[in-house]
Amino acid sequence: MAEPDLMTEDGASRHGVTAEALSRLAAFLAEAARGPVTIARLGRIRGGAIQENWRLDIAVGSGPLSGRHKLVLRLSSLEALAFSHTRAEEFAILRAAYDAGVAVPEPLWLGEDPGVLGRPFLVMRRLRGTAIGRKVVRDARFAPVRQALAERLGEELGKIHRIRPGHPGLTFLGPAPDDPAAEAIAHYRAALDSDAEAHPVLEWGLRWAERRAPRASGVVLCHRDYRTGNYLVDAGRRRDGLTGILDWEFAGWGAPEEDLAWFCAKCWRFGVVDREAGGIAERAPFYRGYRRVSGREIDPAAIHFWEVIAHVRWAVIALHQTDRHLSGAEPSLELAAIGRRPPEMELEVLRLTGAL
Amino acid sequence: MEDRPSATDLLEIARTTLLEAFLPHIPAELRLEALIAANVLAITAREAAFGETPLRHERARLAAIYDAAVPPIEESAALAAEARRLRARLAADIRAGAFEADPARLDQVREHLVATTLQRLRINNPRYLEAEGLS
Repeated sequence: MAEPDLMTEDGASRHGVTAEALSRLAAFLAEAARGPVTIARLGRIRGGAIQENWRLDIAVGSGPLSGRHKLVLRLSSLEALAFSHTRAEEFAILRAAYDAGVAVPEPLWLGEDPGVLGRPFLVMRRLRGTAIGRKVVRDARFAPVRQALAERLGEELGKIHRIRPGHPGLTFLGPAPDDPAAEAIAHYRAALDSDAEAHPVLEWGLRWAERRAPRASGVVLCHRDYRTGNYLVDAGRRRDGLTGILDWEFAGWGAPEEDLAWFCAKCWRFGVVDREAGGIAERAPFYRGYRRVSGREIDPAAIHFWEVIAHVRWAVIALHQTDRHLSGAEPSLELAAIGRRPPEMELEVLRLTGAL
Repeated sequence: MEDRPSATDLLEIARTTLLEAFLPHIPAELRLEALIAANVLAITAREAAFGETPLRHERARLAAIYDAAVPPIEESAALAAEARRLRARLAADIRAGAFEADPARLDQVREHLVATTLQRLRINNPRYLEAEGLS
């Protein structure tokens, strides 16, 4: 099971691009676009420990794509987590979502030859808007769209969940789990076993969950990091502001309630805790949009279960990210500081399990 | 002897200086990291101010759950090792459902987990506690 990134969104560039790499990239793009390509701009967009995103503006001189294009170049980072999808797999997931009508950046080309940039990459269209969670939940300019945004995000999640096991483009995701709830509990217990310290509160949460594990209502394509901070909003664009869902590298087969609960979990409300749907609205519009498009009913007990799991997951990811600092692999103030955040998740685990 | 200023005093003045004197001159791309650095200093100052008391309390509660005698431990490393050992035992027992047949003991465990978590938040993020209406 993969782990999303808890780091903040505006880290500085650590890896430059040489002139030689730039000319190899231009040659790759020319072949992909079937026309001469000029790179007008290439610059790092936002940080993150797992992938690097670069803003890429090109002009295609002739051929079917003749004209200017605003793109994103997405590279595997040097420290890519072993269990996040490869760029080829992410490309296939984006393609499946795009074809299912989900608002995602259109995936264009996949660069698997390490001779181009040294690492695999994918190129997709660039969408407008901001993804920065604390702005989306707090800035006044987003106030008029938040209600509609929550409903639209429910609809988009409903579209994602219509993608089911057996999809011909997604065979690499493996077989669908028989019992996603039990598998999640086993996964997080194994993660705790591999940590140097014992975590009684997280164990308490998992034991509570084990005794109340819901039967799967179905297995669907889960995004697995569907939350505020991972979608783009442009308040000037549409009534709901949504331009696209990002960060698909953790998607896999799972229980639909896992995504619903991750979106609503308190740890992803960016401090606006009374707006339970991702810090942007109440749950009702989010659920309404989801129900309408997915045709699924929402079981509050299953959501409750997955919300406990969500906070355990956040804490486990924090432990792993801190370990990257503690092990000496990647000394980092930000990774170190994340190590002091699990008690916030644990307090919520205690509250959700009725212990507090 | 104890030197003055104390660790807490030193960390607090380092943090104030970082926020008030350095921060205005720190370039935008490093601002976030500077704020994290200031926060880390605040955590450390609070931890230093609490000293060993939270660990002693945690160990005493754990010993009570296991009905064990609590011989005084003077040495810090030994105290930490004993707390760590009991914490691991508690974690394994919770996973195994060991307390669930005994409501009084389960309640004792529950109270211990709440007390421990609240104390860790008093050190790591007291503002979060306040926002939750707790202290």
